Parts: sequence; structure tokens; C-alpha cells
Amino acid sequence: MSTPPETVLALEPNQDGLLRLAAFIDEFAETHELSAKDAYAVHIAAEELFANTLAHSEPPARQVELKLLRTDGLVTGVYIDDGAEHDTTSSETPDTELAPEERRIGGLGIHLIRTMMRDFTYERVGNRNRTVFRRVLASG
Amino acid sequence: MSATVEQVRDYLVITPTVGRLDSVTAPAVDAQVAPHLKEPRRKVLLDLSSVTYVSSAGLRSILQLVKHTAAHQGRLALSGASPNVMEVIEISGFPGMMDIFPSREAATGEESK
Repeated sequence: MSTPPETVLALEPNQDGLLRLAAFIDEFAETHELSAKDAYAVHIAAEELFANTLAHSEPPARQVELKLLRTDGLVTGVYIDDGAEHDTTSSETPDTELAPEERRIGGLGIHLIRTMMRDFTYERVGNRNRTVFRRVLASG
Repeated sequence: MSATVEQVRDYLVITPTVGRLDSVTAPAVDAQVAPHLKEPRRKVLLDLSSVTYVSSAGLRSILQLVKHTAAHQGRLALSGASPNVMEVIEISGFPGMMDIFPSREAATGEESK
């Protein structure tokens, strides 16, 4: 069986980029018949990584790339940016048991990815950050 | 306009009109809501019936409302959340900090439209 082709989006890291990212994921989800629940999870992961690129890249990233791939029972996202070294996967998980006044605003996005994805890994490759997320599809 | 904000009986009712509550739209909703939170609000209802997607940026907006009401001896009321939106709210551990209603009318006691 031949390997299914990846779907790739390259974009600049700015707020317009998020709209393009969302449209790209919607199109991928439709083409590859992801359930609404699975598509939602991919949106969450991609948006969080993109927001991190915007917030933490100094010097700023110039280019972002998202590759999506559906294989049997899995959807895989490979998110690459050329910004400063930043391992999003090592971010602290917020304590979701705390009372409202003690809850910290922030860190929830990474917690969502860790919960919604089976794998969430990072490596620095040359001058680029490469983060991979992988979800077991609810729709099989 | 990113949200409607109105007083309905005891509640300040906030209804985001953006389909996605994300890192682009959430700051606009926050800005629209902020003037209404300058006075202490014990009863705030967030109606998500027009929202199909909430990211961590949207969750931050929700948490700010939770914190505001809790600081004034109240609790945030939430209505109209879809199953996918509810899932991220649950993963974030929010349900224990808020009162969840199936509809805005169920929370406020107003007549159904």
C-alpha cells in the first residue's frame, strides 16, 4: 500500500495566519472525513502551537509549517517553526483541582493537547522547532 | 460586535456572537465585556449557544468570569455549550467552579423565545 500523501500548509506567523490555519484544518477534516470531535482536537493542538510561536519566539519565527496526515485510525500533525528554541511539550500542567481564586490563567492549551492526543513530542532539528502530535481517531 | 451583553433578571448575560472563541476573537469579547465588570457582579451567565469552538484563549476568558463571580461570592452560570465545547471545559476542570444549564432560559427563568 502506498503511503498517503501529506497535506502541508506553510504560513507566516501572524494573526491572519491563524485564520488560514483553521481553514486548512477544516478542509483536511472534510477531505479525510474526520469526525467533528477529532477535527476539534486537531484545531486545539494546532492553534495552541501557533499561539506559542507568536508568544515565545524571540527572535520571531519567519515561517511556520503544518503537515497533517491521516493513516489507519490515526491523525498526525507535524508542526515546524524556525523561531528560537522552545519546547512547548515541557510546559507545566496547571492544577485543575484548585479553587477559582487560586487557578492560574494560562497553561490550559498544553493540558488540552496532552489530554486529547496520544503522543505529543518535541525535537530541535537544525534551526527549527519540530513538534509532533498524534491522535487516535474516535471514528477509527 | 463580538458579544451581546444584557441584564436579564438577576443575571448579566454575555452571549458571544463569534462562532470561534479563539486567540483572535477572545480578546475582542474580553474587551467588550470588561466595562460591565467594573462593578461587582455576583450573577453572570455565559451563553455559548452560538459558539462551536473554544480554544485555550477562550477558556482564559471563561476563567476570568469564574474568578470575577467567585471574588464576589457568586458563581458563573454557563449555558448552551455543545458537546465538543463541553469536553474542553471538562478537561480544564471548570465544571466544579460553575453552574451549568442546558439553556439560557433554564438559568434565568425567562420565557423561551
